[in-house]
Amino acid sequence: MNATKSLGSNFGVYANQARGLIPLLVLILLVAGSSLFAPGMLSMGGLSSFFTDAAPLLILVVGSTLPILAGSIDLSVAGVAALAGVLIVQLHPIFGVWATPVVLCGAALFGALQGYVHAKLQLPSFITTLATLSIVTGLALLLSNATALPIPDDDSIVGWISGSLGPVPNSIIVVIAVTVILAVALRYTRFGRDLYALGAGERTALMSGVNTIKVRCVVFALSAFCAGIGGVLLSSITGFSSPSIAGNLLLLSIVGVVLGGTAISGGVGGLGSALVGGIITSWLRVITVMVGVAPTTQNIVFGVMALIAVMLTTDRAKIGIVK
Amino acid sequence: MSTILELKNVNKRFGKVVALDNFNLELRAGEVLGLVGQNGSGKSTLMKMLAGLQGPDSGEILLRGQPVRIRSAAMATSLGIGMVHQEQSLVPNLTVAENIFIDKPNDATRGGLYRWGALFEAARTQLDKIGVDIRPDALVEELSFAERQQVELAKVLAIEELVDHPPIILFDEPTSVLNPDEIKILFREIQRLRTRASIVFISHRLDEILEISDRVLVMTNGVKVADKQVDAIDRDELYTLMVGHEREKKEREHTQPVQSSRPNPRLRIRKLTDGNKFKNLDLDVAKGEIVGLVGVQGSGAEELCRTIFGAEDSVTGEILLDDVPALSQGPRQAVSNGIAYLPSNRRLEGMLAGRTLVQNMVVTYGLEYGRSRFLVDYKAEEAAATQWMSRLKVKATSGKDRINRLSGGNQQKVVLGKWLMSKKLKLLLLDHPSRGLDPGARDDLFEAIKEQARQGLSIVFVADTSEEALELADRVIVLRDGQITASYDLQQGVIPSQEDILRAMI
Amino acid sequence: MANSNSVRHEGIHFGRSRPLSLKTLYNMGPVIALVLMVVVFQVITGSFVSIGNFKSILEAAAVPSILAVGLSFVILLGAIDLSMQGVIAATSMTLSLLVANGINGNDFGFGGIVIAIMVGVGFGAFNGVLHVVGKTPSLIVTLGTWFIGLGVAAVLFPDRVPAIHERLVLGLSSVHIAGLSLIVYLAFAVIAVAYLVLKYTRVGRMIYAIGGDEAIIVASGLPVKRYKFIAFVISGAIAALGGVVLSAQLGNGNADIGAGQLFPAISAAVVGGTLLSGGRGGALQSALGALMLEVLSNGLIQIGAGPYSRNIISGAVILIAVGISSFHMRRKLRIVK
Repeated sequence: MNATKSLGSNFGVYANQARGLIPLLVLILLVAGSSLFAPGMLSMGGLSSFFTDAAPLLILVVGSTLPILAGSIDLSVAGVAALAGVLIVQLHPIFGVWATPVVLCGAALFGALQGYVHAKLQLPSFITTLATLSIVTGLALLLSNATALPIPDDDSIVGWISGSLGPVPNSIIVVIAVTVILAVALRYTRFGRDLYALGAGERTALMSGVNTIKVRCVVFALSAFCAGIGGVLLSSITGFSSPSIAGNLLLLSIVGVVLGGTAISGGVGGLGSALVGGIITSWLRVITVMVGVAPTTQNIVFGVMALIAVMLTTDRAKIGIVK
Repeated sequence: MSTILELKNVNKRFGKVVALDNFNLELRAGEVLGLVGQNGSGKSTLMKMLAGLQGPDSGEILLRGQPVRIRSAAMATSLGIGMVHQEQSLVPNLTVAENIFIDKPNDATRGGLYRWGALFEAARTQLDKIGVDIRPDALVEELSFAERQQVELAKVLAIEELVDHPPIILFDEPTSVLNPDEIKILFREIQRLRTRASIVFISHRLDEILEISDRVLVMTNGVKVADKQVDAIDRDELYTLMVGHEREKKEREHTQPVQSSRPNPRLRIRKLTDGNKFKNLDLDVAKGEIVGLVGVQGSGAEELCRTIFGAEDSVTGEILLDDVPALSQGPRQAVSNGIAYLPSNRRLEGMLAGRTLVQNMVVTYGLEYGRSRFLVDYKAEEAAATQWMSRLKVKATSGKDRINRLSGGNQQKVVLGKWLMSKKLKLLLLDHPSRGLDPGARDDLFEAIKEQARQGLSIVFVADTSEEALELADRVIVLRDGQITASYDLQQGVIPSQEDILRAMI
Repeated sequence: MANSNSVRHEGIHFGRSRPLSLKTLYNMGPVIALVLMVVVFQVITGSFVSIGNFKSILEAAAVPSILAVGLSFVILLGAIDLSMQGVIAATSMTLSLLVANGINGNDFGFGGIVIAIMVGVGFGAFNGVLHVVGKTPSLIVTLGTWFIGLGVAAVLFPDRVPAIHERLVLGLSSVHIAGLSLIVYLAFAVIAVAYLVLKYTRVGRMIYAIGGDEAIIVASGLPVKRYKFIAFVISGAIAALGGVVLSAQLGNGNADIGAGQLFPAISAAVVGGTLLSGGRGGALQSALGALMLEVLSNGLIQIGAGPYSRNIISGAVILIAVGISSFHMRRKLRIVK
């Protein structure tokens, strides 16, 4: 190989690493900028309440990253979050404090089933999860009769989540714990190895013996599990479970994934990036309100930013014909 | 007869591989030129060049005396050059009529509005030229494979109407999927065409070449080795010419004969059938034996390998590996049965393009070096991978290089290495393993394969050429149209000539 | 022609050579399902089949069918357009502030309607450019535009809901001919024009071709980008038309007006036979799908199923419909993301 080619390849490696750091840079700039006109946010109290509010979105972003790493997408997360909250209230009389773990396991099973239907029947993930979103949202509305239901006071899990360890809200501890566990799993287990292979080149992964169906099941199970946790976190913030609680969160979670630098084409990105992207999204939400931008107008900002992020990160060479 | 098309000193390389080497060709008006040559002789490159899908690195193409640069398929069509492809170029969910005129202007679709009545009539006219009874309003996906070939032909012939001089029509292996009646029809049409077109006809079936052509051109390794009138040459001479002789024939190495585990072969295949691709195949492979499959495109050789690996859709029959049933439902099962497969399409199925060498090598068996069945041990697997890379002589600065930076030969070694990383491998299938490799890389690869066979691995590979098969295999099996037509056990001293093999292939 | 070889090739969809009757049966699937549903509901309720009920089904199906037909142009390509709800919101606000309304003194009349439609054209063009030139997957582009559209509507929103006073707009909903509102007739017109475009123009046929095998079309040197762009523009324009109609029904401009319209539109298209993989189906099929879903919804209401159960059932229906329609396309090595 001649000199220019190796120079080019080195540049490519640096460019990739640089690209990966951009979201972090953006976050730092955001925080720095905020210290100028909203210094209150950076106080202990300000940060604490910021993270409490942001925790549900963060866990949703982390969970949503996994299907995207596989090149798919999970649109049902908001519905699962809503249903989780509703079910915890409904099942509390039966299971007591165990309602939460039971619901979370149920969410995981549901996600696995979703992944199985999608992978085995070869149905596009976006239509599969769009359909399950409808089903799950409907269930949430049905079971709760479209009313917000109070979380029982004696539910110690939810109670604990609403509390904090010193200045650090417990909900964020949950988020970080889950993220760390998932990150470790991604790095050190067969599942993580297979997932990245699948995202890097699914056909090759298939022809190398990777069990793509199993990987998809696990990925969607985890995504639903995280969505369930998100529902629990949301409920703990307000003290109520509401079937419409997840509202805007679906689109925001995808924006969070994308802003973190995870490519929609799959195979690139990770949970660290997801957290960064989630924090950027949450920070923007808060800032725009403080600056006086109406929440609904935030949509434009998010839409544009998401588009820019995706256009920069999509690996077009890998996709071939873009649909 | 005037010269319609001329190629002068045309060169084309793909990386280190020379496809066309100072190639010269003349095509005269109203003649049928037959083109023969083994896999890799440069025939397909030549056709692609004429059809506008590739450009020459150097040299000239002259059309009726004027130099042209055929930049695209559309341009080729407008110049009056049409190709009947091997892979079909029809859009499945459109009608026959639309497909025929899709790349040409037509009155019936002028101004962007479709006058279906007129379009169907125009299509009918084209279809009548070849005398087929296909309805112009039929959707292409409803047609059989042979019918689609015929529509391809009609599509190409429609070029006639576009140009006021006789068109040039290229046929790329058109008969490989036709039955004798359909071939008769095709030949009749070609005969009728000669008054109004010039034709280049590629086929592996030498009888057909001799029957239909006026002149025959033989290619080997990108060079024209013979250019003779058809009445000045016979079948045997063609065979000899095709084989080519500038490469020294490697002396067949005398390895120790494979231990006679023939009564208990490791791999036993019985009555394997895959749809139309092959029927009722039986095959035995012993431990440490290298079986070379030879056959033209579509003979069933590649499909057989893919089927054993579980990558094909509808299979019946029996496969036993070490007496354990191993008819795999998919690649994953095949891998757990101890079967590996090196694909012919490395980019699509063999390597993870954006990943490093080590990452590629550990995809399948990384966890055999892990701390447990589920936990990865990066150090251990990297050490194993690095060891394999040096054993296979992969030229790279480090295992952390990206695989797409490597040359084709080194990429192939890495992909092979991925499979060799397993401690439990029983059967290795290789699909055209030396394709696109320069001689040096090829030799390294073959050496590695032989080494593995010496250690007891059973190997089945699809050879690019019969030479290659003779060089590497202990047993050569020739396939044609989904059946085994010949089997030569080189260990027993039965060494066929390349002509023998060719005869069985065709 | 007698023997039917079925041969599968990598990456190319070759079907079997089916005898004609089986294929017609396959195509008639949605119609048969529709008839079956009507029969079943009639048996259960005893009052399903009536002029009054059919009229209300048609009224309810009008807007979904318009939206489904518009979406079909993009689905036929093998792509997707999720921006519908955003386009509807932006269009509704634009319309309600330009025609005679209760907030400002504008009175652009028909011109206002045209400008509102142009908003949809603009969004469609934006989608098209980003997807075709920027080579960004349509899923993401239109997801972003959805957001942006909602945001635009929010920006345009004055401090209170603008009530529409324009006769031309309100008339769509209030004027009835033969017991059906103008909206229904408009729906028929849209379906008819879309059908004609898809069947009789090069743009329409190329859209099918791109959905059938884009690689071949590209290799043939045809202007694929142009046709894809046009498809997105049409989708945006028709979504805008839907926004106008919805505003007419509601009587005012509203940013939430499009909520919940996307999924039924996609479902309608798929259930009717316009597969997400592209190249199949069309305007009539999608409209039929919308009708089917309305029949289902109407019947479920008559049986006494609540709105939430209907959500659940429509989700299940779409899963089953997609599952059945793509069942025969499964292959060992097929990758579906």
